[in-house]
Amino acid sequence: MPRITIRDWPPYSPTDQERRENAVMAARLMMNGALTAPSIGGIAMTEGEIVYGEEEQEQIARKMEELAYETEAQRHVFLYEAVMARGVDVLLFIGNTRADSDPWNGECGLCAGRPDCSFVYENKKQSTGLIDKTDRRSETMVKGPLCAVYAHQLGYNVGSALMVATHLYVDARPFITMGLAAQKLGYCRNSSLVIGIGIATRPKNEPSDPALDYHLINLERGIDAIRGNVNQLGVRPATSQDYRLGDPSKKG
Amino acid sequence: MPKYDGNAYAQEGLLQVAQHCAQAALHAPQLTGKTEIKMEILTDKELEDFFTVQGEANKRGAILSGETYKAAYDIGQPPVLLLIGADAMPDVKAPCRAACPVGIDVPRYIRLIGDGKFDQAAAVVREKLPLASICARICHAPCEKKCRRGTLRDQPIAILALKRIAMDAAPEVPSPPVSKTTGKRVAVIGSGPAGLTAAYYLRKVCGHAVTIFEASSEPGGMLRVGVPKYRLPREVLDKEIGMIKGLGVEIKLNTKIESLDKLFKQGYDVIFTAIGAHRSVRMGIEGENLLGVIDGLSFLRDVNLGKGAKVGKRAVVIGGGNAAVDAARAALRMGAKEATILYRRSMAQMRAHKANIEQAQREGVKIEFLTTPTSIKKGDGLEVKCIRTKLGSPDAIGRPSPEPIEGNEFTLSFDTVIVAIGQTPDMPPDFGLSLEDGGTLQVDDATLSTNMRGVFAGGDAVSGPASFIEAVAAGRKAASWIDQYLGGFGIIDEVLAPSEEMPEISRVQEVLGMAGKDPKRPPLPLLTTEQALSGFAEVDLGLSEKASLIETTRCLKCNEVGFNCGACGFKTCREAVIFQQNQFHETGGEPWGWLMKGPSCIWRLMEYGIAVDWAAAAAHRHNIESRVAMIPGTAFMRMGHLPDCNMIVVVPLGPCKERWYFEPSSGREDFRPFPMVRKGQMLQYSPLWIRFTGPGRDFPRRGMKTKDEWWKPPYERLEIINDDEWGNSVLDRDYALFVAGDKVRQKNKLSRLNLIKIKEKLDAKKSSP
Repeated sequence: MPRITIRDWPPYSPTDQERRENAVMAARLMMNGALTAPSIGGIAMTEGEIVYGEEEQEQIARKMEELAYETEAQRHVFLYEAVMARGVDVLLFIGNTRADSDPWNGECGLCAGRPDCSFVYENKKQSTGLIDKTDRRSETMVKGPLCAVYAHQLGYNVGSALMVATHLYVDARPFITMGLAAQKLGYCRNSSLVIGIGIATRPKNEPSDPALDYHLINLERGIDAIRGNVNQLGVRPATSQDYRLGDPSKKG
Repeated sequence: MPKYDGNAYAQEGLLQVAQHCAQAALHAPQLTGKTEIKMEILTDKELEDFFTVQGEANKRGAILSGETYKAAYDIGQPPVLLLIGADAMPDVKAPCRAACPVGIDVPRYIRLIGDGKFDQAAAVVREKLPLASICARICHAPCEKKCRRGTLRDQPIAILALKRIAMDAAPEVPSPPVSKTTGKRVAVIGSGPAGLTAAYYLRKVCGHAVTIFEASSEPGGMLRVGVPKYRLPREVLDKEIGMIKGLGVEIKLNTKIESLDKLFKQGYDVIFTAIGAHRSVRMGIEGENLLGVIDGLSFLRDVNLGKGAKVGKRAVVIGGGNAAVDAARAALRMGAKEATILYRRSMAQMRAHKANIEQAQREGVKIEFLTTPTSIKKGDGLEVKCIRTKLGSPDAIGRPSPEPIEGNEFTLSFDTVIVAIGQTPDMPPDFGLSLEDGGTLQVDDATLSTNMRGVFAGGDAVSGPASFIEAVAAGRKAASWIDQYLGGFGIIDEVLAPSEEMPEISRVQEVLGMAGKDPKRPPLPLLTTEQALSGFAEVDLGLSEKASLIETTRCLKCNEVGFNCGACGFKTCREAVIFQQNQFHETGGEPWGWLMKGPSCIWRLMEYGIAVDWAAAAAHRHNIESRVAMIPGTAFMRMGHLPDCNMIVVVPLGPCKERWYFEPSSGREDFRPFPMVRKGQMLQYSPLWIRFTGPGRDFPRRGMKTKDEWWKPPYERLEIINDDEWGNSVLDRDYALFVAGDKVRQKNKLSRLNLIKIKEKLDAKKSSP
């Protein structure tokens, strides 16, 4: 039986749904853009997935929040970008399927090793030059090392998708964090390297211009806070407490 | 009506499109925000070098190494090329490092101090700067002004204080021996920071015989006569100069050079003129010649050389630079009861270092801002008539010019007036060098060479009064170009810091009980005012070891991308950064015999890829054909285009004569990306027959052993291939690319490649016949 979720104040209204479905169309075209990007050696190695829906986006956002507490340096990035994963209309994930297992072999030396791809082979479980992709255990968020040139290639794919977004006048931004979380959840499961692109069709492009502490102070939370303030028409009690103030910076 | 020249118009149009493409790359969305995209647009004439360089490599390598170098033909002869490069390595160039005129790796030594490795930190500083202990005391710290902790959060890291503790803890670091003498002789005129720095590198690294000629009785230039002892103790200065003397540099004191020709006749091959700016600028107001009005530089010289400068009870200094502030502080130490500085602009425009101003104010020096003296008369002592000013429109260098406010005049009385409004070079007339309008020397900006062959110039004599570290930067640049002039490669960087071991995550915060706390920038411990004014003891006492360890924890580590994701193959960004530094600090960052430089940060590379794609896509928006070519970027890298980039991608625009796509008869039929088989080298990509048959199953049929010695992973097999003709030829091809690229660099006056080291490294990889 499918899961039935009911909330008493859903942010997904019928008009919202229509708008979001248009964004899904844009995402489909962006995926085509990604597939036609300049390709190294003309080898097929791009994988994409379009994720759309309250539950799915919430799941990815929660995974990002979980990852936030595994890292210290970029914790705030995971946290505020998780809000964006919830807020955007649709998520497009683009991954590269060869970066971890089939390095370019072009004598380039762009990764940390010698120009014979030995760095990738030596640091992976492999037999007869075939890297064992079934060993997915990793101490780090991404199981490295990856082929650096193919990572660069994924940039071309993502760039082309974003270029399509600008042609279609939808707001789009690439996110490292969304890609990391989605890959853990099994999206783009053949890829070791995934980038998430948040696509939105709203008057304010929040991902391009986030406020400080965005995971706390954002539009959704702001609306909710106003709804929740039962005293909004009368005198507000305990105004010296900063959580009672509209603007904590004006405290005192 | 002019005849329509299709080719010329097409060229012009394509150049415009190339600029659009460049704009698109700059506006591409970012992932980390830490990748700087660099671009260059080249047209037909500028491309000739490329074909020469690539031709050299192709002669040796096109057939041998197969498709990689063939790709260079991809770009054919297009009308316009857009080069896009980026530094996508894990070690992000932090703003502090970018702001340093000599490029000291600031995050690296802060990290080493945080690990308690003070000696290694000192070595990192000394790799770029021979006068490091002096720098740690008197530098104006442009790094701190750009520190992201300061610009984003609260206060910048106390970088100068951290450098000081490292230099105090390890005043000497182990260093490679002096190079063998080349037989060339260099004369350096002036023993200031520029002259000493150039002498150090020319003697020690390049191996030329160096003689410094100093007009004064003691060496050091402005460091000796202009900087008081309370900021730069003389034992520190003497020790650094002694170190340079110890290399075999001769310093001839009390020797004023009046003619360069005479020096050449004495057998010097090159002269480096670093005479500094030792003549005080005059104000040109009434009463400037009265008894009791002295110029700031003479006053400081008398104070610093112990010649008994005389100062009245009420002293005033006119000016806003370090000389003015130091004159005021010195006046207080020489018996003045009060010292005032008159400055015609406001605090923000003062050229003196902030710490110097703060310490002066703490010692009781009063500063009258927005005040211009208009005349000096005898009266109650010396009566200085002044007028208030306001800040007006910006001048040529962007500082607001002071505008007098009519009717706002007043008079102040003093016993001694010290004028320190600036200095110019004191150029002997017989030098015969061409000068700028301000009296400074005219030089070629790229090479610091003057109008006279074999004469180079740098430091304050060229720039006008500037900072210590800028003079050192000029000395480094001069040393490099003088060495090239004398036939060397001009490579002066040293390797002093040892390779770092991969450390545990720094435990400073826990050890010091600072976990979870957010420390503030520590105040610098200073002598008390009474102690300071009682003599010339050094006022700044330096941070304690504990305070400096805590201070390192405030560093935001903007030199790391910081996701610690593991995609590059290292567990943390820190490990990747250390790996890169260990790899590259020996070579100055040049790659050894392969196409691009690694290691790379996966996300920065991807960000760079987005920018490249946007550039190529922008061309298509203009209905212009474009493609993306990676391999030809290597030749451009060797030729010195887009320095500091670890990869260059070429976007050719417009129709090419060569075929771009893999058509029959294009000469590229053999380019089949999968499976790819080369002479002597199989398994570029995992061939299908292994997958179908399973490893080893049909070996006997193919005449192969089924034992492990052959059936090893491809990287090992590549090593085996290095044993045969193919491997060595590839190395020859790579070296040819380096040599041809270096020739172009030499022609274009760009930094050279260290071909000797490169050859050594490549030869070491060769197998013996």
